Amino acid sequence: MNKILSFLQSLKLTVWLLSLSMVLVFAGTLAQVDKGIWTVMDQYFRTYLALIDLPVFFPRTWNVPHFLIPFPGGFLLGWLLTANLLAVHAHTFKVLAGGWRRTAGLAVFALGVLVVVGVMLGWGTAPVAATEDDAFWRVFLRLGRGAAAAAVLYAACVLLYRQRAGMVLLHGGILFLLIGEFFTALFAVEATMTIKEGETVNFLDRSQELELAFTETSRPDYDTVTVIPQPRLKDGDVVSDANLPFDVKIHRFMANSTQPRPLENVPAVMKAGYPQYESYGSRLYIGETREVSGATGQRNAPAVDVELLDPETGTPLGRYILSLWMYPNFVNRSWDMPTAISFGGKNYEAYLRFRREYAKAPGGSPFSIQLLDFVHEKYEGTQMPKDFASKILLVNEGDGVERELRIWMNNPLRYARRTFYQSGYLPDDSGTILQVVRNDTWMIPYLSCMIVFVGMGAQFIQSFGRYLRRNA
Amino acid sequence: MKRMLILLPAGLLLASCGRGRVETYRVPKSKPSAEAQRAAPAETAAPAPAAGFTAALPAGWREVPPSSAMREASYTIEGTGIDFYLISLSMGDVQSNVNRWRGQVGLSAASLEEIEQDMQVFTAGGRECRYFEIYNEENGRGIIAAIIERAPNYWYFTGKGTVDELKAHAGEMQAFLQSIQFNGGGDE
Repeated sequence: MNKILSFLQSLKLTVWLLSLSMVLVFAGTLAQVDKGIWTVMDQYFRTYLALIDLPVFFPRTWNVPHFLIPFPGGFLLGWLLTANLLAVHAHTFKVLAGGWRRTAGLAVFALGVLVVVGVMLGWGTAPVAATEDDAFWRVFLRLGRGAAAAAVLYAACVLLYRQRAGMVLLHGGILFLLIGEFFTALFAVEATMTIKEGETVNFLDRSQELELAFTETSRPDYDTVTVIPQPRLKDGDVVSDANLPFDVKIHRFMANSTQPRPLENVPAVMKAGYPQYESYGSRLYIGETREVSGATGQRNAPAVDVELLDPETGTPLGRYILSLWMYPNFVNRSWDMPTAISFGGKNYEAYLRFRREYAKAPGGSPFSIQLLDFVHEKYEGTQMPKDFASKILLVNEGDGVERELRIWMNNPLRYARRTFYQSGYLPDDSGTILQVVRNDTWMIPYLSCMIVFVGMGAQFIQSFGRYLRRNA
Repeated sequence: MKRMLILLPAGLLLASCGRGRVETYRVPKSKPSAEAQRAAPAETAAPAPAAGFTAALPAGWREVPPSSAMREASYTIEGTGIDFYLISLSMGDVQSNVNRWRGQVGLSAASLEEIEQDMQVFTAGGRECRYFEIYNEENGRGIIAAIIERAPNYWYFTGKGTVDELKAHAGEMQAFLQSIQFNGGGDE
């Protein structure tokens, strides 16, 4: 046990972990030449065991064999660094107080934790916050809240650790930042909301996850949607569900696909082996293509080649290609290509689409956003954007919210534990694209920053005071 | 406490599991665009009853309401962002029009000789149709345009989109133009 503890406390371990982190970041950065940014994040950083592609270290023209090198992933390195920091902390910074001082210190520490939680959850702030004020003061106010939490924690450290309070606090701040980033990686959700002028939208497109959705449209009053999430879209698998009158065989999940083009214009060599699809695939060519580079800013358009089977007999009912190119929100509403399927007297529309999340406030009541107006001003005589802004109507009947608000660059709306940023616009300025981020730990960088700042400041003032006294 | 810390990553991993279930839910009907698409299926080639002419619509083409008063007809092509439309103007100078289109895709002006080298001429509804494919490979933008003289006016069919999309559908545009039948009027 002592050996493990001394290993965890060693500076050598810190140096090794930081060195390995540097190699991982280097490899992950190079990997973005060949792969999308989110593929790299999952393969290298948001994992315990990374598999580094050997060719990333060589020019792509060299025919380097595609070996995968096992390497500690970002999560593993992060946790080991955390354990290392905790072990050093526990060994170096011993609680120096006893009796009433220790009790008071622990009580103030508990109060500090409460303030930190309050700042993170936004206690005392407005539930609907579309900011009209200056961005500088907004950030200043957040740092102020962080400073208040840091001050309480510093008081606790003074009671518990006396003259080492500053050092303890700044190490605690770094630890908090590390843990915060882990939670951000695990739970932060990025999504978009695409809304045409006059349209009301009540769902978000989770842009890093996909689903294969079958919408049964036969009923006049409502639609029934059955969704197969991306983790189930594995080559060769057959997905059965009581709510679907057919089984879905996954022939191939493609990480990226080509934009649809007329089959008749495709060279015969490419058409050879192209499956006999129904619907759009019968006259359009949609093929697998390599992933776009994360460095280019382009997006992958995954596709899935599926065959519907009779659940009783296994008889094939038709083969379909469904690509993200067919989903209107992927192509900024330039077109809409639902794959129509009729079976057993029921009509279905199928899409491979971003995972859809219906908008709900934390209390559970649904909300929607209507785009009242989209303004896109350009500098006179040029195509350079000067300002683009969305005037929206936020409605949550359950919570009694009906507010006209404005979202524009660097001035997001905060509502329902989400932040809505002005991100883009539809062709001909016919609508808006909002980026929606849910990150309950978004205040942690502000808080850790101020905790480290207060800790360093206190340490500096203390050392400076000691220096002055010595030289007095 | 230390055991708890060791168990934390495992707990978080377990918490992140559970994705992967097939789910079914009901939603209110809200798909006017898809319904409209079904009402006008793109599979069948149909004549385009636009102002003063008919033409065979290639598969995947759809006539849509013109987006401006200047346009006589507008079309979309499924799976592309191509904007294909017809306008009628009284001027018909080839060089100035082609150079205007070249400017729109970021190319410099060309001489009449260069333009005529790239021009294709075929018949559309018994009339001469001068056809141009203008591609800027550097920025990926292009225009396919055709001028048909219908005195006293000139008809301009213009398709705007990316170079890849236009190249993939250029054959369809030529087939569409060659299938044009005028409904009388004009100088006929």
